[in-house]
Amino acid sequence: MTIYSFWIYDKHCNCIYSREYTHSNKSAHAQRTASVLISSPGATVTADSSGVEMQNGMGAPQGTVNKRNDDNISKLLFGICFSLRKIANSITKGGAETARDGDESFDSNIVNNGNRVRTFSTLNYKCHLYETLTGLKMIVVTDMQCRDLGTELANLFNTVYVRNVVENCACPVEFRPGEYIDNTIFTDGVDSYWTNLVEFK
Amino acid sequence: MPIYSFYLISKSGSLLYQKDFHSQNSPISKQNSNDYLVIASTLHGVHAIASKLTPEEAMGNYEKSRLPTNSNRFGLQCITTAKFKIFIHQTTTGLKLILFTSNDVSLIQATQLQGQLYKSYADYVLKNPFYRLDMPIRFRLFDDKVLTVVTGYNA
Repeated sequence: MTIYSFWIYDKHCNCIYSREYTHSNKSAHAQRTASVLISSPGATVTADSSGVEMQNGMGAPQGTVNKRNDDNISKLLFGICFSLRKIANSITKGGAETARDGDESFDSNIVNNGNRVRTFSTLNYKCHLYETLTGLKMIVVTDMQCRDLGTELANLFNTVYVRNVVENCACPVEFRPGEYIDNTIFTDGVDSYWTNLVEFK
Repeated sequence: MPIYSFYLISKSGSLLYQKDFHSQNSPISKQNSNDYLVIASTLHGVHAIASKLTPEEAMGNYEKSRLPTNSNRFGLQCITTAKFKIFIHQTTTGLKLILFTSNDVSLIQATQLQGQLYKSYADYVLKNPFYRLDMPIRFRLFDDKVLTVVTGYNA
């Protein structure tokens, strides 16, 4: 069970947040020894760096934040989700027509013909998708044995995203191209949410 | 565990064969023939894109999976939507067998069924002297065989 990366796209199809996790213990070990080597001259510095290291080891997992928002991987991932969503909607019997005649009340179940793509997987990895009614898409990439993380994504949206981005006055409502969620509270919240899951390793 | 439809896609992404099976409360609606072509070629493209997206750390994961070995190591294997599942099986020659099933069908069951369907393709299409490769399949015998395999499974 492993979580490889996490992506958020806004309704204008821009990737506004990307987070990749690296799990190889080898690189972590290398970093640790490097930091010890650098800090060996002064005793006080060693103590400091070990504190940071502890934080690194326990709190923030390794990986990159917002480094791949505009590269091809991010675009291809969005493209896959877009095409699959289109297939899933076009092939399903419309629940929309029945609801359209008569009552005006809005029912979220009729959006996309009541169908949505939950996951897709290859033999190497599995992607879990979650889309809100406002068009925000959240995608998490895990290994293929992982259970369906759709509810976890919804939960992440309700707790971390709404609290730290939507309700945050300093965050823009509409992200311009090249503008990302660079909010450390949000990043930490997302990291701690994923690391606390059993699936994260 | 109903099977809703079955597609055969050639190695270049063109639709060779498509069949919808009648089953109660099937969520899949009838499309016109152009839409079937669009769906088939989209799945073909998406299958290729999915292999490009493999995270570096996950490159060797297919060795761990306990499924019968097939040549679909990096491409798309299974799509789960709220109403149905799509299973994609790729043979060594690049032919894709795609099944639309209900949500309670597992990957192993689908792989078995795809194996049977591939067998009837080999027997009743490839061995047919009137068949030209990569052309749409229109044979009564193959139709009947596919139907018996699938209804035998649905029952």
